[in-house]
Amino acid sequence: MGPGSIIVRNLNVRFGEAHVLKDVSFMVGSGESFGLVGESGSGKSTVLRVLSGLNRNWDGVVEIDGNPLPQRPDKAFFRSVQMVFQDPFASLHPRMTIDAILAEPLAIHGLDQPDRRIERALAEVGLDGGFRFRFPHQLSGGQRQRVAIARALILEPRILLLDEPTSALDVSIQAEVLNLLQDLKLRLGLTMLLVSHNLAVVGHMCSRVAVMKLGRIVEEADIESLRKQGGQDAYTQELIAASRRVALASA
Amino acid sequence: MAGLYAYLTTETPASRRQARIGQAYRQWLALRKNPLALIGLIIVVALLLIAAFAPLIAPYDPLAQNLSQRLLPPSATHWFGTDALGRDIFSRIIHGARITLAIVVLVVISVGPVGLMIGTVAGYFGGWVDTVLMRVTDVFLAFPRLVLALAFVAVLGPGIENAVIAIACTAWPPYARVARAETLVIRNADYIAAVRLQGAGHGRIILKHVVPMCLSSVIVRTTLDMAGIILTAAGLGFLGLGAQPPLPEWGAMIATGREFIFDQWWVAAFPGLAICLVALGFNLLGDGLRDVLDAQ
Repeated sequence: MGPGSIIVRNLNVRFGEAHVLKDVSFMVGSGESFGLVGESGSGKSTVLRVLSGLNRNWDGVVEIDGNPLPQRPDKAFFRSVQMVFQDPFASLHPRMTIDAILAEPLAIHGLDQPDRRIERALAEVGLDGGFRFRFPHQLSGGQRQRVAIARALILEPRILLLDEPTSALDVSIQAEVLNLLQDLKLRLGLTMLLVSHNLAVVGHMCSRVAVMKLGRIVEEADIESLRKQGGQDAYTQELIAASRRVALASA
Repeated sequence: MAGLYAYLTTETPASRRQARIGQAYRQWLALRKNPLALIGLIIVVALLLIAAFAPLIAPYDPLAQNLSQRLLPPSATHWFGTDALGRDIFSRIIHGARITLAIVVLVVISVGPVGLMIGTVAGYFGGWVDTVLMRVTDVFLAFPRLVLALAFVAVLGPGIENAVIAIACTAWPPYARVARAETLVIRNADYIAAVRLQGAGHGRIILKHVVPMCLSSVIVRTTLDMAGIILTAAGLGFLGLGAQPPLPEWGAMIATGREFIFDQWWVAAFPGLAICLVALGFNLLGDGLRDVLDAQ
């Protein structure tokens, strides 16, 4: 498959004795939004860490952009795949201004016109120039997450990995950030892989979803068919029922 | 004035420099709220000024001997009295500030970077790199500081330069420890993972992202340590292995005053007071800086 696609076949990850991912396989087409849901410890974040190149200890076949993922990814790889972390309070360097944080990837890859690129990246995530020279501690959680998204996008990747991008945020801010991501995806034609424990978030963002449990994918389905028929697998049905209960409780 | 205040405290700085100055200004405001730290700062600044203008402040030549005026008690002509060779103790203490400051500065600029590099590299890479570097550190830590410094000076020969080298060799391990402990926490932080995902190499991650996070604790450690450095230098001087006569080093001055401590107390007391005051100043400042730099 072409640029922006992800193919994972029989991915296995072990941490010592623990077998964390067991034969995980899925495919994400170019420009598609794919969700991974499951409870904590189901291995969904580990999948992201493998795909992003952070975890270098894995077996199986992973193809990104049609090229096999090397065990030790080179610089060029990071220009096509970027990731947004869960906690925007932990993912921005506390002693660097927003400007310095955004300038860093540009300096690493030797990209030209850093000033223009930084301004554009901030504008893209809806932050005006007044934020540029602030420190992260002067920003709210939602603003920080926008900065983290801007940092991921400044290298113009084709694939964006999202690790629970809204779960550390206030409910009122969550929708804002999700809409921003949706909007960016449409505008930039990004492939997105979204990890979440929240079915509602995945349902809002993704067209297809894989349900993970104890390191395995138990079911893969269209969001639409999940909505209409519930899941095939007992665990999926449980998850859907649970998320409906939460939705009712919070409504 | 109001314009300057607005420039410094704005929430939306317009340039890199303004952001940095604003940050420094906020830290200064925090430091100013702490009276003890301010006292420490005043003492340290006073030491700097005294060292800079020593020849202008000192009423006498610190080396001029006058045997007809030996061991005079403090008086209007000799504020701190005179020593066994008739030299003015006040003038000697003023000039001694230069030596003390030189020793402290030389030790700090050699120890800080070394400790920081060894600690961050060990903490960042972990594994056998960590093991090797930390065992070396442990070896240096295992000896009492003054004893190890004595051994170095014994090999290198007495003198201020060698005292500095000896103190530097014994002073870096705690810095490496502090930096390593900080790095162990920092290296798993998301913001380090994020730069790694941008394709940054190890050198860049350590220098640009890990070191700045360790810097504040190392700076605090340094200011707290300066008192110890001064005391070690004074100790070496006291034992005759640091500054050599006739240099007016405070430790050496106490050593010569030892013979007269019961009858002519001022010979040893005033240099001792100077050491005490400067050590206190650095300690207070270090405590204050810890509060300021750690606060986010």
